[in-house]
Amino acid sequence: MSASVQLRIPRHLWGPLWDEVRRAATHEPVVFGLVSQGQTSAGTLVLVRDLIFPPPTAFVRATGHGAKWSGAYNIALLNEALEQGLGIVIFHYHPGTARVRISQDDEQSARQLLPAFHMVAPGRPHGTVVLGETSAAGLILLPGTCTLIDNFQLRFFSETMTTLPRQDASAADLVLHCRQPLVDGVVSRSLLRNTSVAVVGLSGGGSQVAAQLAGLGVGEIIGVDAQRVTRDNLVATDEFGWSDVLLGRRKTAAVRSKVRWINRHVRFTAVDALVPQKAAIEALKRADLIVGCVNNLNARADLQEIAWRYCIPYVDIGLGLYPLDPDDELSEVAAISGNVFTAVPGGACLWCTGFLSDEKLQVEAGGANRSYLRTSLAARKRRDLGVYVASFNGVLAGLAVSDVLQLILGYARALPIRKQYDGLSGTVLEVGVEKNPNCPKCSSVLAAGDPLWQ
Amino acid sequence: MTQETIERLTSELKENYRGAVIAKDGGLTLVRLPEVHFPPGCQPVSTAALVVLDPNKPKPDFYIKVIPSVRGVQPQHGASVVGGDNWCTFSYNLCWNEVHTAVQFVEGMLRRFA
Repeated sequence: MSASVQLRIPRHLWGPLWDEVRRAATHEPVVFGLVSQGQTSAGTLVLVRDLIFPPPTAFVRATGHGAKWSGAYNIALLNEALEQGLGIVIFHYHPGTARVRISQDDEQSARQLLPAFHMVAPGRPHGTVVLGETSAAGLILLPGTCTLIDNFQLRFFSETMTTLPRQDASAADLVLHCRQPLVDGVVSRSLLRNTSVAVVGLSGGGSQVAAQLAGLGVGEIIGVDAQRVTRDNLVATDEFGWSDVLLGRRKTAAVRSKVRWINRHVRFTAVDALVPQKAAIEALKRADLIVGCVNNLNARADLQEIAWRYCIPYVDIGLGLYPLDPDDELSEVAAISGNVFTAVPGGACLWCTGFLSDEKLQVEAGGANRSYLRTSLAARKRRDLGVYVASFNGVLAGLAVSDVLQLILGYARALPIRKQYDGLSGTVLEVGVEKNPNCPKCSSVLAAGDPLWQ
Repeated sequence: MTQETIERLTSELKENYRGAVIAKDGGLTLVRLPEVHFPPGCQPVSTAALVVLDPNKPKPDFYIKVIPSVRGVQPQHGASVVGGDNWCTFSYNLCWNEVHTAVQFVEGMLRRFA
């Protein structure tokens, strides 16, 4: 993340917001965003958690070009924000394809309103943002400061992940990217170079994901894994070698060498930690995308929580071999089943689809909390044999990296699907997924940011 | 837990633990206690704690920053992401219900390490 302040808008809010601000009306349409905040080592995230569409009765006659609303509505708005412990960002729209700028009227009203919002709700950011067709501008006031910031990025999620301001490029380069985003052009290369992808779990799937990302030229790969390369990893991926096993190298070190060999311009940041250790959480918070290649549901629940809390797309992959008789060590294989699920903030999550549930997590952990999870996973690992699955993991890694590429470059229409891989038949089945309007995690965690301690 | 119970427990924790801070996180109320003390024989002697009050659960959840070693042995424990931060969890079946106080809950949970 290059900018120190980034405003993020989840998918389910972007559509209604974009439609409303461009609506033809007697006054300039305005939408209020209720926002939280997240602090990462790369900067500050301002996260839109909810939208408020003011009724026509809220507006009063304005002398300037913009909209003006009543003092009574302002108080109601502030009460709503206070009730939820959130800040307020005012959105409106300027037409035209030129790069938008905040008008004098907008700036004047921001200089009056934002400090007033700040007085009432000092722990959260406030701001005003003008949206254009291909750009955004505005002013943001962060907690603990009195300086209005005009240099920020805006990221919204639709079928892709779009970050404004877009990179400066010639008209020809922009047209090329628009029509052929997969062509190695100036814009595509820059979009990839400015992206940081965290890969959690660097075994069979994760090591292959990292290698492919390096080939694509993403700016940074954050590799998260606390383990060392063992013999059984050699049959799960082609990214490790016998010397890695012999030297007992950390997986992060082995993958770092591989990444450097493939593309020396890619920065590899090694995090030798397990999720949810502090170092891992901090590294994930600053990533633009997370690819989870972990072997248990509890770790997936943590990754989903972090991704949703800070509005980060989460691509999850997993592979399982299922014997006919789980109690028989010599049982035949009944199924080789893999899964790729891409959760875009504001779309369906792993909880919406029932992939994660409290019951499943408890069964896996062997109790109501995770006290015995490590023991139960270690017991499972002791039973597991090294299995020749490098090629199956490779299929899933390829699908995951394609989804990452789609989010960054937007080369195809993103469908709300989960990809289910059948290793025995070698086919991928698309399973439709839907956002659950009653999903407890989406309502409580999505764009929640850091808790506001008082 | 009823909303009244959550409010009562929150104010009890604020009164009894210096520096306790509260955050609303979705439907949950989080109370962070900067310092709780383990029973004698534990190393370290104290740590930060987190009490999570969920209206859909009969009793609070309890997390600590560091699991102590008790007479040289570290009890079985796990780790979770709560409120965007990492916390340690441990298993202890404390008989507690809404008639009890928040202090009884916290100090009772810490008896796990006695």
